[in-house]
Amino acid sequence: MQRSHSSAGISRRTVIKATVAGALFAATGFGLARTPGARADTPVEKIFRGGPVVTVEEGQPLAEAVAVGGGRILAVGPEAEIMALAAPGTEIVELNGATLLPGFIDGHGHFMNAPQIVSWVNVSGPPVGPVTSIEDIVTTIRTFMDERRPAPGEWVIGYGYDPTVLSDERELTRDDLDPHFPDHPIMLIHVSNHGCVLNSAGFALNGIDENTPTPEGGVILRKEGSNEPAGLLMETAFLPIFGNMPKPDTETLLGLLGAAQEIYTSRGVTTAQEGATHKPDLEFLLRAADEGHLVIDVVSLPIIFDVPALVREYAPDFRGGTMELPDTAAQSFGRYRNRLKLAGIKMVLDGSPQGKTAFWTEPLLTGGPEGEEDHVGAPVVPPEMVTAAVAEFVDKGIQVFAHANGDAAIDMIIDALRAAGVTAADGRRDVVIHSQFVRADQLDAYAELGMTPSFFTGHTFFWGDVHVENTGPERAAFISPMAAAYERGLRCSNHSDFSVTPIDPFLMMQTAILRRSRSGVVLGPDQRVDALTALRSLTIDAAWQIFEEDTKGSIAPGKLADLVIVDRNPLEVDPEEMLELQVIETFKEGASVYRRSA
Amino acid sequence: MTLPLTVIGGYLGAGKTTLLNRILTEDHGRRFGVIVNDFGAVNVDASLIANHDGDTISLTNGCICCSATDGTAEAIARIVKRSAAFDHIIIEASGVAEPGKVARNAAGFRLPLDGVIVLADAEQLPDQAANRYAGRSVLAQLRQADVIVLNKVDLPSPARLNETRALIARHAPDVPVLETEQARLPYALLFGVGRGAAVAAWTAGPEAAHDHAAEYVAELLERGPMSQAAFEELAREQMGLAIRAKGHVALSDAPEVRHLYQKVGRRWTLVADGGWGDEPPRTQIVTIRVREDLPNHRHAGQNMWRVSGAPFASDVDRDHPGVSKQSDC
Repeated sequence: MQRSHSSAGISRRTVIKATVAGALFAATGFGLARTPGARADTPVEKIFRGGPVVTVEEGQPLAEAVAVGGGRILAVGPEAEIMALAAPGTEIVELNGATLLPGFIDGHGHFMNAPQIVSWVNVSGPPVGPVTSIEDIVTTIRTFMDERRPAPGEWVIGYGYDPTVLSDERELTRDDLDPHFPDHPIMLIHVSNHGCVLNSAGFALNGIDENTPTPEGGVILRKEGSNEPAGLLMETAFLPIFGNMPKPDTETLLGLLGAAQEIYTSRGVTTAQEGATHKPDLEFLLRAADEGHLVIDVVSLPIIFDVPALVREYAPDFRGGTMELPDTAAQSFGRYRNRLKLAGIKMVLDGSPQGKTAFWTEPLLTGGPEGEEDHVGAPVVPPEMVTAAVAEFVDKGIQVFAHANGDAAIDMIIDALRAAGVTAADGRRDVVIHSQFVRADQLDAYAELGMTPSFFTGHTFFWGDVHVENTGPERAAFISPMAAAYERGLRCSNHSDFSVTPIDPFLMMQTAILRRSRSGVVLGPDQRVDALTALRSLTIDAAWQIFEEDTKGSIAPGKLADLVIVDRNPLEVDPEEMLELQVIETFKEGASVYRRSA
Repeated sequence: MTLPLTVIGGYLGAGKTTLLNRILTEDHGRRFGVIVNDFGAVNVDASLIANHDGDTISLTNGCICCSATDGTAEAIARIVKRSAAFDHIIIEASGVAEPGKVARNAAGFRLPLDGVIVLADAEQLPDQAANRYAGRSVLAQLRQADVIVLNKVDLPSPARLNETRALIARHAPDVPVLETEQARLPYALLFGVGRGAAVAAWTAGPEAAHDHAAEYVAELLERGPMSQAAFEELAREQMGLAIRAKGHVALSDAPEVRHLYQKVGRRWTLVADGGWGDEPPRTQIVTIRVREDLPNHRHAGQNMWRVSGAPFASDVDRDHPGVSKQSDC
């Protein structure tokens, strides 16, 4: 065990008063580096025993007991050996046959959606939510309102509305909602996030009625035989409603952070990602961190579009071009301050495959979103900008996180890194978030350039059938090809893209293992991985991807005591039963941050 | 109240930012609400900023500029809430965005589309159109334009300039092209001749008024009621060269309905717009076109006008208030 002092301990307990302006992009740097290890005389605070310890360590994959103190893992080994370390006051945590795992690491998601979602009602169908009928929707909203008691006139917002899961086989209408909820405007956001259903109070607040024309490119569903809006609004008709949606203020959001983080801790996730951080989000996170609101680590990726504004604000004396960074910029990345870390810069290169806005080299078989022929999608930013920005980030030593779903978008980031002279020897670990339609030759390029994919295997379940239809069975079979990536020696993470899909490590594991669509089609049987590989992509390899494998991702001495107790061992359970696994308790740096109610 | 919307598109280096900078800073007497991708790129001189409040910069010339990095929908919603403070909304479409789609998204806010203006780089366009990643987007932008501004025409060789013109003629036939440098263009051609009395209220004045200080001609076209087919033929014959046209139309098949005709570049609409009230039904349309004594290049029948780059603010002749100031064309 290393004897170095844990600097993370200092940053955790000391609320640093330094002004933000003096910390971001400036010579003083942001936060403190974490190093592995704990003091030799650290008292043993907790010992976990009585169930399998899945360490995810190469040499010692299974252990019997773990000793924890000072927020770190102190020792891992046979029960007798570990129990010998117990001192008066050491708490013995009996696993009672449950399994201890390293805390899960969110490979990619959007933490800032969490405070919003916890103030919304979940009207999704299984497995995301409880709804299979219109009656369920009404009951679910009723229960939510009985709990939250919104004031009359206050918006009630739901998410995950999906008419295809309703046994009623029709769209929900305002007439279904009005008798039950006359006093509150209600907005149920469509599962695509491209539309919503409103009740009459909601229509009134938005000034939409029978005289409202349907905008081009939009849908306003009307009641039969009338021009009166029925409830559903989609696309361009939804945009103004979305634009006018009530936004919670900072104080409200801070108050929701406890519940927001429980979304993560209740699923055993101890490191969350804020994977597209806009400037106001970053300001909020800095405040949340410095006021001690973060119970789990949050890894933030400032979004490239806001980088010029961030530099202007935090490095006002810097005189560079639009996408240039001060020489000291790297010191703002890779270090934690009160559980907040900036990991790298997020670039967005294309859209989504299910929305047909990803960027491919070969056309879709089903045309574009509006039936366009020969549709390959489009990049989100010009390639010249990608090349220039990547060259700058490489020059300044900042990790790149590039959102790329289609293979043409993936070519753009490969080209840009190659143009910047990057090789695997640089050890940059540039991440291609999603990498869903990556080609085999592109995985070779990943290996050559030291790049690493963060896959989204949940797509095989949620949109697998759509991908087969749009891209054909062959391309769809290679979606998020985790086996092919590991064969090339790449290390991968897997992600939920929360809140696009729920944060559920066991759903991520299951989809990596089964790759089975809603209709039962297996996409690329040869790309299925075993349970340990699926687990690695949520723990040690996800930690490696963000340069935290020394302190996280496995149960080993000197690492942070980020741990989760699960009722059954995910390495032994039948993958078909994976979604039944229950998190019993979650620990962040040795402290319990979630416990399942009895 | 609804505001006319102009979407400004174009690939990297085409001059969108230069044009937006002019709009935000010059003394043109129009109040634009402008949604841009990034404040930093616009880089307005501090002395011209009246107020800077988070996502919004208010300029001393009455315009405001909103950053849309938080999503265009939110930015549009912010401007629409204050619509009485503006005459016109401009949205900058990002480098690879399809301006037609941006315009359509804005349609949800009930903003009538005035026009899609796409800028192109006279030197770089052929390379950009052939780019493996961006080519399709560059061509889609040209196809979606109502008016193309071919900028930086002073830079390419004559052969290269002709290559660029031919490319535009091939992919965006029928779209009028204004050729310029440093994005210098008369406002009237882009946005109409400014605030003023409604066309219907405009009774006096000469048949045609030439504003000699500017590079365009504003003309009034008057006719009695006619059939729609006859009107469309008239529009083709009399307004084919017009960059913009706007006015009321009296159709003999529907004598009680007043129709509104609007044209920007190749886009035109004819829609019912209330009744005539006490006025006799009469077609009155103001057209704006480039002065015909300016160089006009024709490729495959397409009109490509060289505007000289006269000072941008001079399109409203302050000493000679005339037709151009009194219509809302």
